[in-house]
Amino acid sequence: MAAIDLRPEPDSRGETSGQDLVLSRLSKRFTDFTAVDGLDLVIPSGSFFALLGPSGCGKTTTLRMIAGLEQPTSGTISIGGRDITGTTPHRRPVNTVFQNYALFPHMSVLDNVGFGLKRRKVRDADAQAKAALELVELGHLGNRRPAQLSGGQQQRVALARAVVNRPAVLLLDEPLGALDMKLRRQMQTELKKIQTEVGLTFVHVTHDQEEAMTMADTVAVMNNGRVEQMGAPQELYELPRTAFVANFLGKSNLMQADVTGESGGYLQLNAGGQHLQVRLDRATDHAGRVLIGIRPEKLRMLPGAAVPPPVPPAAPGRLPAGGAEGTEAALRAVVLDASFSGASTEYLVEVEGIGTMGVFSQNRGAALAAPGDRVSLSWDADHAFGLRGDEDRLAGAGEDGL
Amino acid sequence: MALLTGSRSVGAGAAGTDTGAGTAGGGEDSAGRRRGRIGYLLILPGFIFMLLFFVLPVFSLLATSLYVKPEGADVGQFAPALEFGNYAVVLQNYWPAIVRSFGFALIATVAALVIGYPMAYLVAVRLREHKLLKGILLVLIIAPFFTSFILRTQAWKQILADEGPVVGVLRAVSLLPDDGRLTATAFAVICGLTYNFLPFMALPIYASLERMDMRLIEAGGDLYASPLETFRRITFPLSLPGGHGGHPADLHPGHRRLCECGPAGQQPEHHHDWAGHRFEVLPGGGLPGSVRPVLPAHAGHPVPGPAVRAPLRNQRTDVRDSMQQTIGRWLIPVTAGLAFLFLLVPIGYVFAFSFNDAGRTNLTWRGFTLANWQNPCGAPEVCASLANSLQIGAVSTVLATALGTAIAVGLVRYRFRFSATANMLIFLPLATPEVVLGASLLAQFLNLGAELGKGTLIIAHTMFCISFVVVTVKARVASLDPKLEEAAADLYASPLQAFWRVTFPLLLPGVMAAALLAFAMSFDDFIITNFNSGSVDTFPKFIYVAATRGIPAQANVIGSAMFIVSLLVVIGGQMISHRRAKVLAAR
Repeated sequence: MAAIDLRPEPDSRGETSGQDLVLSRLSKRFTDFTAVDGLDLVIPSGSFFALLGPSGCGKTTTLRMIAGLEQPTSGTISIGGRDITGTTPHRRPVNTVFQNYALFPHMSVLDNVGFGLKRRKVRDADAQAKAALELVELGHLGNRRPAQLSGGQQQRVALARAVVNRPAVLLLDEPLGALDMKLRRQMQTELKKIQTEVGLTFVHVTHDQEEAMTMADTVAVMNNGRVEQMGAPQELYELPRTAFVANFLGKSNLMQADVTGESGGYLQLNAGGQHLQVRLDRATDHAGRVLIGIRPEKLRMLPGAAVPPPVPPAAPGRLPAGGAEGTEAALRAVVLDASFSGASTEYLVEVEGIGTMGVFSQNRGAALAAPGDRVSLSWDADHAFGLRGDEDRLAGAGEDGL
Repeated sequence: MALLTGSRSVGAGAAGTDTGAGTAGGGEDSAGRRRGRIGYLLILPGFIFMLLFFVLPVFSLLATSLYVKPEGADVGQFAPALEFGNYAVVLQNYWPAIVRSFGFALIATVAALVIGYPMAYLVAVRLREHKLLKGILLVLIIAPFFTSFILRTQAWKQILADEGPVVGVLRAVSLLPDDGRLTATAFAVICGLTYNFLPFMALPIYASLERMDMRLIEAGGDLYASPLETFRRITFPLSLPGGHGGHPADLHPGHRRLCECGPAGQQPEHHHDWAGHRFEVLPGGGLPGSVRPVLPAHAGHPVPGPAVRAPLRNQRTDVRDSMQQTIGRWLIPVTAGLAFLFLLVPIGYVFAFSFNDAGRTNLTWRGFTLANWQNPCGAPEVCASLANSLQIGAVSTVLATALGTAIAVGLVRYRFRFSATANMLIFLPLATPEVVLGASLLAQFLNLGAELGKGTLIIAHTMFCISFVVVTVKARVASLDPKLEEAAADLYASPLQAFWRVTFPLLLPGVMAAALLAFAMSFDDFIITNFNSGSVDTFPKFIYVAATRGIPAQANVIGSAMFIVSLLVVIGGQMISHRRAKVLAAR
């Protein structure tokens, strides 16, 4: 059998420039539905990349196509410029950490980890396998069978088994799904640490948006077979470009509004009689019907129907709620519900003219308000974002984004 | 090598397949099955074999059943025709036997249900926690298979003989008139049938009960049902799928009545029928599965009234409840115990008489001796026939296991246009009466001019064993996580390496179980063997023939030895897996 054609393995610094993973117009169509629809993605080598999306969005199918376990209907996959679309999985420089680990039950842990090395006829396979086990802190369990390990330990063995081969791309298919909360958090940190240490490209598929944002350098949010938005976690969170991303990553209050004009770099909006503003470069559409969004934690809620102190006169007439350039003004609202969860309280308020909004308030001692209370709501206009008006306000909300 | 990688690397030459039709090789359907030539390669040998030695013979038999015998023609010569009238003639001439077959089978089914249910219940429900005891009892249910069924039946004949203890006791207590008998009666036949049906009935019921969620019983109690009501309305209906599963399988070995009627019942009737073949009793198996015992199947009971009132508790209900509980607690172990006794008595009889100082006929007890055990080959032909059986069994097992495993892997892992037909074809031999299988194969061999002997026997045994192997291995293949093979490919194993290092080791337990089953089936087979053996003697055939003049005690020795060895092997296997489970549990 021909030797596996792997590029020179990265050294510990992760100098693997030129091993970018490029997906070009990748599609996968089954008889009754399309799982992946013309995907274009460049995953820089050495990065920790997260493919985030709800069940059925096509992220696992994409992963399997990269691994070679599925054949794309059309499009190409290349690593470092070399097209691997037609290559069989056992000849690709790609390794996978499977969702249920897929450890070989009839082999010891050490043999599992060394399996790939032995197939590639690497000389000191056992020694390297042992080193990989040490990396995941399981060096003493080499002789056990997978069934004798706990879930967390199995997960680490699966990781060691993949990492030891120093692949150009390491794929992780929701590897932390079967672990309990505490263990999951622990493994998130460890995975990130290992990735930095070995410098491999990690492509992590998950539906847990918190996990994606914690671990990844770059996140791509997938929905219905397409990437809706891609970028650094902070970028995606603070400036979502679609309603789906706004609702899937964290929570958003999205309101329908009509554009009434522009002024001083801000779009002027009318939402149910209330005057709101959003910065032009944070809005996708600049005319007609739009959706304006604001994250619950960005809202300031003050008890009572108090009107805050007047702002230096900049514009005549009534002050807009999303005040220009950092000024604030208030909307009147009534508290419908208060949900205490320790570090914070989530309030559901009914804002006149706009409807219900969620407010996330940090626990600074006393409760801000109780259901039935009148409050005033305000926010910094620079925190608002604008989306296309014809989008579904509730897209992505209530999906299993946790 | 190229063929084996075919299914995965179809696209290897063409980069960037842009067919847009999802037909790039290696595509999977929603069940994770692959397409590809390798699938056809796997199932082809087995299916060709089945075609030649099952489909063709049986359909040829079917066709011949419509032929007519022209005037003045020799025995065995027919003219092709579509004479459906043949069937009318058969019904007219043989309807008493047909009705009797159905009747016996029905009664035996009910009897097997009544006897087998407590057995299954005891092992599946009461002994759920006692893994080792449960394992042993399960083995005991299957145990009868490990003793030659001819020997067991012969044992029943002697147990129920006029001079035997059972008849003696029954006459003493006047349950039987002084000149009454048990052998050669319908009772004896039904007894024998029930006995052979018992494992087939008990095992599926056990499987259903084993899977049942015990909390359902708790829920019954929580919702005011007494223990009896809970059983009647919850447990029993839920175990019915197994109860139903018992029936068609039961009726399949019904044609073994052929033998029952020999030693224990009426003398076999010999007929030269229109086909010119000598049948001993009409085959009666193949009763449609719609025959069900007349038993209540209350699936649900409407809650009375708008408000559910708890039944009032008083002294009377307390007494009744505690009575039900006591009865329930003891009823099961007692009836199950009696059932196990029923199962094991003939085996014990065979074992006991292996120590008999018998001479040529081993019918009455003459004295204890170890001579038979010390010299098991003392009687002529015993060891010769045993050697034949072992030889034929070994070769058939290897062939059937190889062909059957390939078919099983092919059917589960690969997609075919005709997989539904293929699956049915595999099950057909299991549902076909052995007399039909044997006779049609005999006709086929005669037509081919083949000489009857070990060769034809091996072919015949392989044929019916393949189905058993496929069923067994299929279950194992289906339970194999396909992700393991993907992981192997992900870790640079070529398809061949992946099969050898991952798939095959994990399949091995299933394949071994299938091989054992095939060997047991082959060794114990009498009916098909009888048709196709010519002058070659197998162990069961030897015993059957010897029954007329007296079965030597050495045959009992062999039978008992096989039973003990098989028992030890299976119990040993149970203990090993038991111990391994303990090790795993104590991480």
